[in-house]
Amino acid sequence: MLLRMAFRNLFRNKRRTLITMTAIAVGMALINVTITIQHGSYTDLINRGVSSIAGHVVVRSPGFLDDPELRVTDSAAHAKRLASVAPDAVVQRRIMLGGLLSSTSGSAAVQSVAVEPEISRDIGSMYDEMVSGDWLETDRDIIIGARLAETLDVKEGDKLVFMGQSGGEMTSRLFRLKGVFKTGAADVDGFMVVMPFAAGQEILGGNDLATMVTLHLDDAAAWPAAVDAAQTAFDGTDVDVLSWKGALPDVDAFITADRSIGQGMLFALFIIVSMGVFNTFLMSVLERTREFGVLQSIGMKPNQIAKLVLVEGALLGFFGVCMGSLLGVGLSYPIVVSGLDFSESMGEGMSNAGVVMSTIVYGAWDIPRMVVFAFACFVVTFLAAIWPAWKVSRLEPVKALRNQG
Amino acid sequence: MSIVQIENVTRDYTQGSHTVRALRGVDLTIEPGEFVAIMGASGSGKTTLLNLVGGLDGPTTGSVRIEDHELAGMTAAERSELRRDRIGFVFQAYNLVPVLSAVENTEMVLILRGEAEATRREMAMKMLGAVGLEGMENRRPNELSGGQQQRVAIARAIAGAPALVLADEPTANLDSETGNEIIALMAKLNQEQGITFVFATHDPKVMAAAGRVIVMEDGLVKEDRRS
Amino acid sequence: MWWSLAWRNLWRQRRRTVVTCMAMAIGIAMTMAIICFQDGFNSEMTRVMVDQRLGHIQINHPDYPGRRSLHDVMSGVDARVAALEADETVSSLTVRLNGPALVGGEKKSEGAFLVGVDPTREDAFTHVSTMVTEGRYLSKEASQEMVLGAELARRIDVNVDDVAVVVTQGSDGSMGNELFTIVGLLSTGDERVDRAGGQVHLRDMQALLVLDDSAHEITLRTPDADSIDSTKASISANAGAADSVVRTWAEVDPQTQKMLAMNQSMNFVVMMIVLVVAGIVVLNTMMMVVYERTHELGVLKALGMKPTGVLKLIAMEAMCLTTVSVALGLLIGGLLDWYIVVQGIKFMDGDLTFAGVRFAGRLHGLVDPVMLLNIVVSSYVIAMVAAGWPAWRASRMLPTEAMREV
Repeated sequence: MLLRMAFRNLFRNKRRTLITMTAIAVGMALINVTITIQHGSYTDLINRGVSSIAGHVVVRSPGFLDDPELRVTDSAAHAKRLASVAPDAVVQRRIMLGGLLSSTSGSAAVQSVAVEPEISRDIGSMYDEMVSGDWLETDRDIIIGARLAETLDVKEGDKLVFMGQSGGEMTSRLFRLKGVFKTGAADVDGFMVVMPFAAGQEILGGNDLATMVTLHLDDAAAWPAAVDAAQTAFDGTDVDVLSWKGALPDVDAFITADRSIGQGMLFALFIIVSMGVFNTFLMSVLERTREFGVLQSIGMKPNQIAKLVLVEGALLGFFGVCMGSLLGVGLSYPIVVSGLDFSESMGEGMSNAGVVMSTIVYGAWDIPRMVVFAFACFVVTFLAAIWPAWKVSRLEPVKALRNQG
Repeated sequence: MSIVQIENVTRDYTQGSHTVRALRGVDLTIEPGEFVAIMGASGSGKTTLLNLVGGLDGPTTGSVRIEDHELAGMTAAERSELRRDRIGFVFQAYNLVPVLSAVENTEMVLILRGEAEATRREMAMKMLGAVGLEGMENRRPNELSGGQQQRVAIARAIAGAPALVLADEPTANLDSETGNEIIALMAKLNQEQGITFVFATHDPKVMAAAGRVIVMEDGLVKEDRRS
Repeated sequence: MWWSLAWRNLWRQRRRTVVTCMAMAIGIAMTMAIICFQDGFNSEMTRVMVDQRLGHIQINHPDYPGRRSLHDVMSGVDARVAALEADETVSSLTVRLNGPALVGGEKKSEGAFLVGVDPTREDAFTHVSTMVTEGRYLSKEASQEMVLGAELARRIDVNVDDVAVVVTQGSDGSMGNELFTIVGLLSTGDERVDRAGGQVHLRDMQALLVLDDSAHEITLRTPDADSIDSTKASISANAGAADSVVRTWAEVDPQTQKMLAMNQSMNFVVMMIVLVVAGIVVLNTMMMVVYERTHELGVLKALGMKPTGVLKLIAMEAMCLTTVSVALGLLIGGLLDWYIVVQGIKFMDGDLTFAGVRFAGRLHGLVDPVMLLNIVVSSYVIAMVAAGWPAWRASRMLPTEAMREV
């Protein structure tokens, strides 16, 4: 009976209820859309970071953050050990090396990444961004960015000399340009080159060195377990075992910062919506003072009347959140399927914390978060009904009856 | 046992800084089956007296017994239960819950008492029949005339077989013909079923129908005549 | 008289008015806070990219911006610079010659973006000497000195007073190496400098690259942002030489410009979202206000008040409501902004790199008066729109209908 009355009470003033529900729904929908966009772009950023300069599990030298020249030795053995942690995953070794790349026309400061060609190609990374030429085959092949190719005025087949210093020795090595990639991000296209792992090791003077040994999972979500397993496997060795978070602190930091700004806005919306609901509720309760007096006179206890108001609050919250979730999902759907095209504002590409971001941002469903926020929205609405309900429970029938209604 | 026994009762109200003494020492006894009208100008204490009789309020000093339950010292919750079980109300206007139909309004008291669904629906329908509203049970208050609304209020008031029904100016908003009908209905219920009625009123028709008229002035009973 | 009536009407239902004002005020305050933070972000980005790296206007060799090849230089730089410094529309100027090089200490080398600059001019342009974290900036005269980005120095394990080897390829194709003394370390916010760059004297660089009296960039600043286009036009007309091109910074780096523009529009989006939701709350309130006073408004109409009068009365109440909200919002927002500007917000440990700019983990906000005005005006507009419908309905009601509704 209480439920029936609460439900019908809600729609006594259809317009007002609808407007209040719209406020809740709009707030809810915005939350959903924001979460979807954020989740999609963060996941993309993480995936790209993982595939280009890190892994889901990363093995590297302690102190790497302070001195990126520190490398692990026995890289092959480490690779084998890492592979045993997750047999289905891919393990690769990389060397990062800074130096000078020269052609006959000029030079440029570059950061080179030496990768194992077959493994790297399968995982993705630069292979997907190639615009001309072919992927690495022989030890003398090198791949550079489009901007760099322009600066050095080279095309496939031309000679390039890489000069670097490691362990006190200045070495230079001859390469031939095999292919060109283009990510769109100026700092990557003009600064990064990719060479075969063997070539990198040679420049470093042999010794089975690598900057990092990384693990790449098929199912990204399984990374916590993999990190744990790896840490156990490498216990007692002299290397650091990190998750992608430890290896990509800038990405992690960016996501945290970006998320907090969004959170700030959502918090504000929550407060505003709950104030609107509070107002509506208070009004609808004050309007019915006399009616509550009559109910008390026929024997309804104040607590029962208060419960009625709370149920109304719960119903309002429930319908508002449902409406909002539907609206939110509806608005997010095209973003998930076709994405938002930011190329107008981002240009061809942009790098963030060393990782290239795509210009088309696809949304991704973050169901757990959406559910949590829906619940929070419901609770906030319900809380707005508490004070009016409390006021009602303290009504004295005599005073209430004297009201005009 | 008298239905209502009021002894030496005062009731004070504080409004801001000053205190108003609405009742200054009232003694009153009402026996079962009576049809009583309480009259008086505004400020005479008539409404306050009715509130006490109806258990809507408690006395400042003195004793108010309804069917031997002492009101003085009762908590709000206890008075609530008393009203639910033993007293029915008909107000001048706004008696009914707008979102409930006639039969739902009528069975409210029974629901509050925890009666089973089948029996209470049956009882409510019977009551609506007794007040002459068969066929109207599913109508909402805004679909009923003033007189019909009052009939539903009466049906609700008697649905729980109360000891006492209080009516506060029940005919004030009705035209004279409808008013007469309502009074006749209540008189019929009083005679046929022995339900005690206590009115607060200005309406001469009610006073004419009443077996006993109490006149209030300045917080005291001025006259108490039986016809 | 009417304003007084409107104002008093507002306070008949004190609690409701207070709650509504709070809702709107919080909306305004949060918008102010978020925008203040974003603007801080934006302004740092602008400082690094536009003030430091790009300037307002750049003069380069026609092919340089695309290819950035060593050979795309302008010659006769000294003369050009003299001419430009005489120009009143130019407020400051600096000259740069870029020489990618391998820079190394005893054990380690790395590729670096070395820039040859005229220290006096460069310092006047970017105040780079204030960004030296250790040691000092370059001397006025060329003396084989170098300042390095702090990160880079750490990675190649060199310190102030160490000698570093610089290996470059000259314009004649030959590889040369020279020794430079490191006199200071830099932390500018520009990733390209801090992590992988450094500066030497222009003359030293010209010698290293065998490019006499040449430069890649002449970077100018105008007195204010509005005069960029006109200054560009006047310089282009005067310059005349075929081996140079004059461009605004937006033309040099459209990507940065687009990003800054996007950040600006994000501010607008946030504002609209928050204020619209607050507007819905105002709508609700105004509707209740009108509904409750139906009878009273009917009486006023019966007494002769015209429909427009009723409309005006309701509108005035909405104005009063908004004014209180805006005042309250500005107060709360002002406090929040003050905190964000003075104390800053620490949003993570360590630093963040975004689009080539390095942000310290503690970001200080910026208050833009124009944006504030924007927020205030938008609040009024939205509140008026929200009140519009109930007000219109109230004005159209017939007096008899209204008075029947008690």
